[in-house]
Amino acid sequence: MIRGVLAKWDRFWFEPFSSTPIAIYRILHGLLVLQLIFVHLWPDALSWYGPTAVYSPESTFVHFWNREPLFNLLSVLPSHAWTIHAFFAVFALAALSQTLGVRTRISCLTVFLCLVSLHHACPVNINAGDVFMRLTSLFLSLSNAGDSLSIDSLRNRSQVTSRSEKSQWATRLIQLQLNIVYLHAFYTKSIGLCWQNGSAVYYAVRLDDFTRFPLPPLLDQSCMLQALTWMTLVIEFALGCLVWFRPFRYWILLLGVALHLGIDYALNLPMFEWLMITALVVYVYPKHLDDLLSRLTARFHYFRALIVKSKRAESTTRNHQSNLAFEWLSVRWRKVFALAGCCLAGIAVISNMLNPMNANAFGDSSANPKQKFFAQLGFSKEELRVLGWTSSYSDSASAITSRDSGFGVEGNEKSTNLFSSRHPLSGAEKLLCRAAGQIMSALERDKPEEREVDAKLRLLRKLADGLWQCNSYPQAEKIFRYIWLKRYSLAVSSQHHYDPELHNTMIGLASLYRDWGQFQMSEGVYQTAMNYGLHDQAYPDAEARDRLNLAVTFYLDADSTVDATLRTAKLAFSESLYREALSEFIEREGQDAPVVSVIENNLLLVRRDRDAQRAKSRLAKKGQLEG
Amino acid sequence: MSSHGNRKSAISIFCLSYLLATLIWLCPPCPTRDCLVDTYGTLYNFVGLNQGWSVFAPRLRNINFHSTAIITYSDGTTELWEIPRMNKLTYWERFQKEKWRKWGSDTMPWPNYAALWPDVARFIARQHRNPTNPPKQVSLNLHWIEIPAECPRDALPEHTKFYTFYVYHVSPEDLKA
Repeated sequence: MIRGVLAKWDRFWFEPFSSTPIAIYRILHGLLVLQLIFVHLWPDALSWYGPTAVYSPESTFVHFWNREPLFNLLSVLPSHAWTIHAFFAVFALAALSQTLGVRTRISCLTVFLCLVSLHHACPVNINAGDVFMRLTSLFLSLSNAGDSLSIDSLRNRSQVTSRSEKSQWATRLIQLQLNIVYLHAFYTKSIGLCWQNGSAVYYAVRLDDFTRFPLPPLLDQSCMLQALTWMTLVIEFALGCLVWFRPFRYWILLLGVALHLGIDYALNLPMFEWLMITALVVYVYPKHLDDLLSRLTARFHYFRALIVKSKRAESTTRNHQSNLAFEWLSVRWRKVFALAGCCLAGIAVISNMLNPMNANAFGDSSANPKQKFFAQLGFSKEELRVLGWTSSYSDSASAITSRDSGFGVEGNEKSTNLFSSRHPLSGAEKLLCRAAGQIMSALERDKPEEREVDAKLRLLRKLADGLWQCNSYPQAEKIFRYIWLKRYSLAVSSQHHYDPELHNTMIGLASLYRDWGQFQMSEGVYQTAMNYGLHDQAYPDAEARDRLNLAVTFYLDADSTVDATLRTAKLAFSESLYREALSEFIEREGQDAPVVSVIENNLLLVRRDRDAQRAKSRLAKKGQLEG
Repeated sequence: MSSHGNRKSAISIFCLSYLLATLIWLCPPCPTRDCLVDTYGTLYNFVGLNQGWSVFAPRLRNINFHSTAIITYSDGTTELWEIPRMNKLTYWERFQKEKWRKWGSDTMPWPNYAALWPDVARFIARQHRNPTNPPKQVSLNLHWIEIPAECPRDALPEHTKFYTFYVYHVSPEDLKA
């Protein structure tokens, strides 16, 4: 058994086959590296890597890499403009050598080291395509990519013939790396709500910083965009694993190329799509590539010589076909693997649908993921019992799918409908909304005692936090508003001087608005919270002061339109708050902490605004006197 | 074992280790995964094998935005500086300036990178160096708008919402090359 597995492992990684696919990939990869250098990086090299770059090396090292040791050639070179240009000259030379196949391994390794250095020196301008380019340049440096279609192969024809029969394990690594890329992309997309409800492509093509060419009107229909979203998932999954099965391979590659060309047409991602398209060449059967190249170069004897074929060409290519198509496995094992792959995909999709965090409106029948989800939200068993979620999930599930479920379901017509949403709510969101609706209706109907009201409001807060976690901002906001109203009524009726829970609710709502992107609303609520807290001087801890600091920042940023007297007073108060926060932070984190500089800057801003305000008032008074 | 066998073993160990390490690296965060990654993360980063493939996933942003900087000079005059906006550029320019887009939309304005904002402000101040009228203050701003639920691609709203996320007071040392 073990011997059999080892034999198959050996055959998968070390059976020799033609180096044509990896050689073609080497050339295409090299051309893309040249594009990266001459079009994207070198013209702005000093802005990214020079002595006066956007980020200083120290800041990148400290704040981005957390002082981890990193390979970076630029850090050991003198910090001058000419050093950067010399570095890029070497990089370009290496990329050209890689493309032509001169000292292929060394040139590929140089390209890899240059890419690593650049990515470590400035990690903020790289995308997934750059990362893929970096990894594959390492694999190319370990491969026999120079054995064919290269100047190296021309120079050493006799040696190359024997070399081309060597194993192509680096090609296998690139193939598996591609599988990892697509499967991870599939997984991360499949847990996203916008990918499940089909709205992802709609938003992707409306990001105006990605805009490239206009979409044909037919493709810009909502049903087409939904289909494209789900097609993307299907194709990525297929490229991640089904590509290994021979009958599907070319169809899947064709779909993959179509996907990437489509993205390249619609979105401005200059490198990424072409890097992926060119990498797919490693899946093409070597025999087919050799035949194609032979036909193309039939008339040009010189170029024909570049294509080195081994003495065992026919038998080897037969082996490659089988090798690359999983035919080294017996038919029975292939069937088992295909079945297992489909089962795994099915399990992944179903588990995603059942997971309340991700589930769409149609999938909600499993109890365990829900229990786990609500446990994560901090619901105790008792609270779950109160909400009726431990007895039977099937009731809740049927309630979720019923049309009349929602906020105020018990007949409170004036209540807002928590279910109104631009996008379909997931099963978990509906469950949370329904529970919140029931609690609110019960509070309105039963008029319970203060203690019970408090407990129910705490429960409501947890539900609101849960909805917030699911990004259901409008629903969470409505619950927060309700809690605020109730807590305020409680505070008034019980004549409490200060209710920390009310203050906490306000801060929570302001944070929710901020997370939602409603900065003006957030600023308003922060101000209210600040005024409420100020009234009672209820800021015992540093956390509260942080929040205050944020509130004042919001207040200043929004340039509130309050009248001049009030504004001056608030500015004066802001200054004292900043002073307090400053001393607190200096004491806690030292003089050089970034937050200290933020507070210092804001303090200066406050003073400037206050002075301007005073000057304005003086001028106004002077004007009045003169008048 | 022959040298050929040794070579095969070494390659096998390398491939297996790389694939395992990568799979663990890409697993969703959990205590076991974090513990395992801690053992080799430093080496992985050092060599440049760190990776992530969650392109447009799991969430897609539903706002359009751009960042600007307002440079205030010593004499009180101000100047607006924009990070290259792709939709305002020609096809060639937006192709060429991709790195600026990446920086401007994925890194620069977000609070995770707040510690790097002083560097950005200093960079912008240096770009506007003027010995007779040096920059005194740089403020970084975000202009944004939600993407409507149903809107044609060529009729997207302008970025009318505005938010100043950082203000920096420039010192003479900042302007030194």
